Amino acid sequence: MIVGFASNLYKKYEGSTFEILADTLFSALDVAGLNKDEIDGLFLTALPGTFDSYAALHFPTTQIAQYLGIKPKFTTVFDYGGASALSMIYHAYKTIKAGEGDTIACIVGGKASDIRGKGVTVDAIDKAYPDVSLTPFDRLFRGLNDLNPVSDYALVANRHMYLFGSTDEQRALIAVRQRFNAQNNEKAIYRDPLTVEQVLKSSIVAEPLRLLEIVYPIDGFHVFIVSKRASKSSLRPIEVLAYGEAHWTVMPAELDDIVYTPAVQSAKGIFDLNKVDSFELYDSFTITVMLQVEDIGLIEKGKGGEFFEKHDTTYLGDIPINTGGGSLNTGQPAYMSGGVILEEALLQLNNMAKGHQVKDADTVFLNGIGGWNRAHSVSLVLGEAK
Amino acid sequence: MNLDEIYAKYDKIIREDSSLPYIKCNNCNSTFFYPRHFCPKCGSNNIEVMRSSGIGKVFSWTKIYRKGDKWIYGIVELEEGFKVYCNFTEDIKIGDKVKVKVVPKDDRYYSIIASKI
Ligand SMILES: [Zn+2]
Repeated sequence: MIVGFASNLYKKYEGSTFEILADTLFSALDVAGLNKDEIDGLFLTALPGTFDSYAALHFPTTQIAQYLGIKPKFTTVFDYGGASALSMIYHAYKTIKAGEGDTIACIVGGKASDIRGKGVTVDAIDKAYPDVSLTPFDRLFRGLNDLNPVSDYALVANRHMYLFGSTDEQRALIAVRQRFNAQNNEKAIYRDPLTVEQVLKSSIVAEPLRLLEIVYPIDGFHVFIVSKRASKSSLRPIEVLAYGEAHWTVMPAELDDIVYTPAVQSAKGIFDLNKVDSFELYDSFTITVMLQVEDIGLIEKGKGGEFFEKHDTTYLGDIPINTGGGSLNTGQPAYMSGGVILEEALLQLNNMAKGHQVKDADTVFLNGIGGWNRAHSVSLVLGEAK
Repeated sequence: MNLDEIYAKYDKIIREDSSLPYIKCNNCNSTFFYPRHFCPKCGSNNIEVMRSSGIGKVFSWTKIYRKGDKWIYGIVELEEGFKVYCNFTEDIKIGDKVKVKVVPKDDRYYSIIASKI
């Protein structure tokens, strides 16, 4: 079903966002052995400020179809931020199974360098584009001085430490393990070996989170082609084995507690985790990964730090996690890590993860967390249907 | 009460003495700060704008370091049972008792500030 995929990632791309998008789409179509006129559906996710420095595109899928010169039968915008990429795959799969189309292109990415250049992050986009609304409660929220999403996850990390006694060292270990996995990943921009001490010595951005625990926003796209026309693709026939999504759309301040993510709900009981060969978990921050090992059920709540001490989570280890080093090491295209973890899952499943391949990887569990202040979770298990 | 009326009441309370306004549902007794014209728990329109004591405890916090500047941001849990985002005026830790004040930032927005008591 997933017959093609490709990515193009740049620290800073000097040209138009549409150029990277089109080049990546054509590369993915090449892998699939399909041409652009065969695209029935266009699935897209995009965040404000990431297309050629405009605050927003008016009718984004129309503009993209216009640029590409294609006439899709249907288009959809997915609105879960970093978790969108995983959701697109499931919905493309279901749409094709239902006979509504043969081939769907799933597009995720954009340019982060324009917003980065303004010294803000996308969840604090209002500081660069005053007319963008963040919440229905802007009048009572935007007078505050935050640094979202970094400050949001910092609040979670601090409370996790307070409630459960997790430590800076345990979070640092996550960054260290992921860097080990990134060493031979040609997509990674950070590949030098890293120690816990180095992570702890990196500057504090929002206490307790340090620079080396935080993803670096970059420019780029991932495109995934889901199609029932698989005859020209050399990829394994990868299918969706399990799926769940959950949305906690309240402001975190209105949650009973902030240390849980909606992954508690999206991942619950969807798959036997003992049958998983590698886990690709959303890694906007180290704490994001720690929360997910708890919330998807790899270990009980509060023990996420101990989990990383107890298990070898490198691609060679007993429970491989973020086997290519994750977006902490490739950078985060357009403030969304979903494409990075999805591409890594497909590399693993197709035995294409040169230098970071998990032996006999047949089943991969992915979890995406996205949206303003982590409102959305998407859990997806990929493998070959037996 | 529609949203404009709620915000007018919020604004009046804030401008009177920098108090923290909130909404109480007279049907299910839940309290909330971020305004809707109905109760988000039970859906009732029987809601009332109240004045909080401002007394609460630090729920979580972070100190942000940016371009040589630093400031503290977090969440306070008020004794009336709701939580708000705020900035802190000094170093605090989770569980510290604080008082929350609200001041107009400009015509449209408000600053929510908590200090130790
Ligand atoms: Zn109520």
